[in-house]
Amino acid sequence: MDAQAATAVNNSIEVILPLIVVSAGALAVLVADLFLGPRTKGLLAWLAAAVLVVTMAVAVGQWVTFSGGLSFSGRAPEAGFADMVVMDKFGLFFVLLFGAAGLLTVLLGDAYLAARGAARGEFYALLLLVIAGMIGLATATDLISFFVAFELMSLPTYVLAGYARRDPLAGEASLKYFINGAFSSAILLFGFAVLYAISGSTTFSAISAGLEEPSLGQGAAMVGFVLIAAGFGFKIAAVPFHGWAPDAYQGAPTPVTTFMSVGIKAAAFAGFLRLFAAAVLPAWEVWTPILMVLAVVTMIVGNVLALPQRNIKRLLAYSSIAHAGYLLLGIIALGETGDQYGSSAVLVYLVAYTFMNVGAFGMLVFMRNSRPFFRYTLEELRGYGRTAPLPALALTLFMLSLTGIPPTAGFWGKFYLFSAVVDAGQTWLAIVAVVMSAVSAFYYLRIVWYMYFEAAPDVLIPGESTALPASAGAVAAVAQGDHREVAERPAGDAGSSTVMSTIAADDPAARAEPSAAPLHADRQPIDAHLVETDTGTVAALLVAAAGVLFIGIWPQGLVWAAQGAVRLLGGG
Amino acid sequence: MPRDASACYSAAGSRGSARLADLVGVSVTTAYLTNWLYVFAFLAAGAVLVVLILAMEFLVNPRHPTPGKLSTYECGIVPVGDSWHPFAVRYYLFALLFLIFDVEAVFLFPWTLELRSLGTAGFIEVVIFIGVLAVGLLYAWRKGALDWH
Amino acid sequence: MNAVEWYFVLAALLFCIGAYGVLARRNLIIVVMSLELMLNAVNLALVAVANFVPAAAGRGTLFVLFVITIAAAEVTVGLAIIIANYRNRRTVQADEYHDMKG
Repeated sequence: MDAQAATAVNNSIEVILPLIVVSAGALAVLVADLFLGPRTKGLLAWLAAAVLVVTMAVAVGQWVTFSGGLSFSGRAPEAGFADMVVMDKFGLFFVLLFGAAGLLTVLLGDAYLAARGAARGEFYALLLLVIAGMIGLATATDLISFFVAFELMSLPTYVLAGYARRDPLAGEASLKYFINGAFSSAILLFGFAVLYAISGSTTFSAISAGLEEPSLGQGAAMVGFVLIAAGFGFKIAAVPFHGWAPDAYQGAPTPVTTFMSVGIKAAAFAGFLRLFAAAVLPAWEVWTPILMVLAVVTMIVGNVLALPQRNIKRLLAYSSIAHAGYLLLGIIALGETGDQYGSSAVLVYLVAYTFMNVGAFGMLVFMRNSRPFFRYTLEELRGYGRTAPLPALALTLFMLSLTGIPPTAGFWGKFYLFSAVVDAGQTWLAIVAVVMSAVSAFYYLRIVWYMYFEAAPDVLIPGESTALPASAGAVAAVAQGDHREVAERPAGDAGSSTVMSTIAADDPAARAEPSAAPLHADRQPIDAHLVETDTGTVAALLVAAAGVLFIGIWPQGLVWAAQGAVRLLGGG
Repeated sequence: MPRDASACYSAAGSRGSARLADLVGVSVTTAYLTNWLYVFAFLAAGAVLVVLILAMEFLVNPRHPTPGKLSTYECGIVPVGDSWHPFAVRYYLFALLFLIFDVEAVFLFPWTLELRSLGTAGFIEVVIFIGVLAVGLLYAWRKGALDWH
Repeated sequence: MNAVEWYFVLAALLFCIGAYGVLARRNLIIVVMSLELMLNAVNLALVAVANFVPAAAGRGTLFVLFVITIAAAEVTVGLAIIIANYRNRRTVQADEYHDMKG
């Protein structure tokens, strides 16, 4: 092997270094799971978290070496593997975002899985594989690597959605997600084939050049972009390709739903943002109208369908659909203007959305962990503001942020997106978005209303409400083989950290369950479970709340980072 | 370049026609073609034999069809039920494992064709690729997916 | 129409048959088979472009190799999900999975 080839290989390894760390970590978790005993499975969460931290550290290190900004006195973005992937600030930005989303999911997932006695090794291995696919998607500069990464992201997600495999709802969620996802992948792939036929290449830069003088007509381009937009729309759950989302979100385990709603969506936007900016920008007149229709319909239908929902998980699924509609505005602004302001707005929004949606779903995980019969209905929130002031306050914060009320992260996310689309001369889209945000306030703030202004029902089934959680806690603790702790913690939810005990002390609902009692006698069988320690969930919630507030008060840092990330996105 | 190519084509053409002439005369230089003649003769003889035996069977054999004779032959045992029979789920497990490991080999064929030009780096990449597959196999093995219970 | 367009028409036809199968058939195994048909239709289109468009040679063939393996992985995951669901509900009929609505 000559010196030049050796340099090329080293260079390529540097380009995909975060990807290598995550993939090797996934295999390490999988193998470690095989050789760890049942008592040491808790180490797997630490291993997965360590992998993600190392990945993020690598990304930070690479970001610092890309310090040159516009002039790139430091280093230019580097392409590797025959222009299949590139590592630039845009990719690194998303490596950090995916790492953060993954860490939050690990925090949310561990107690959830432990309480159910579910296998944890495969969960973390699959999660890391999904993140590897997401990183690949954000750094892909070729239709081939794009599609491989897209599928590496999608396939483990189908499995994760059905992770609670004894639960028929999770199975149904997984099945619907798989069929819709595979269908959309095929549609996307056909779109890629058309794009390849028109431009004569699969590399983004060559596609961009090929689209200047396409070999096939406008009609073929139209067909290709409709197909690509459909595949994209399926993945981000845009209307009319959203049919799977409410079922998949509702049926999947809540930590997985959290990750699907933030991680997968962010990765899909990262990949397609690069595709639209670096590859098909010359054909913007063809695809921008398609995305406009998609955005308007998604914003309207997503928000309107969220209005009648009584199941909070399902409500948040429709809300997630609506947010995909807002995010599309950024790509439309990119297509209309050709500059990167819209792209940076998408990045800002995705970070804000990650924190606030992890917070919202994380609250559901928290409530489910502390109240064994919580069924995610709006009615169960009655009186929550009185019985658990701190968690109620956190949920209020996330709902305000999702609505877009200052000073929260959600406000700045919407501010930059809407101003980007106004700058692009499409004020009517911004008007639609603002009106639909006002509609969304109705269902977000109704959750807050239920917590603070709806009295807790005074119907109490005697015996059940107080006895069950305690006994279930004892059963769970015995199942963990930890008899000593049973004596110390009869209710099973006393925190092991100061953070936890602050909230647990304020949370009599965790022990007494007065409000949810009438709903216990439901047809749906729910396994009795209690979480021995919920530190992870609480930590994730604190991080999410801190993120929402921090970005809400000082958005400028995030905006700078996002603008730096997209600066050379369009091929440079 | 075009001139050379056409010259090449004409030379090939003339050589081909020479062979044809030789074949008519059954020359020694076209021994490999006569080898093919044996193959064709063998095929023809085989086909004639099949037709002959079927014709003899048709002419000589007495015909008394019974339901037992008309049923599908399965190792001499009378078949039970119809052929649309659901398989046990554990067959699927093996089928799935086979499917994955079988298809991954598709990447090895192009590599063997470009073995020399890809050099050490290509070799290391393929070793990593096979290593990842081996981890998958190890996982399936340790989880008991390869046991027949 | 030139050769590549004919191949594209054929690929589109196969793709639509597959899409019809996914949307209309009730048996989940047949749905998965239809998904495979869709992916293979795309393979045909990719090979046709790689073969008939001079500028596009090479990458399309490479793409097909990846699509083949991804299709195998996809069908494996899909069948595994179907088996897991079959163990819960004892059916492979798509319209019997309707616990969530709204």
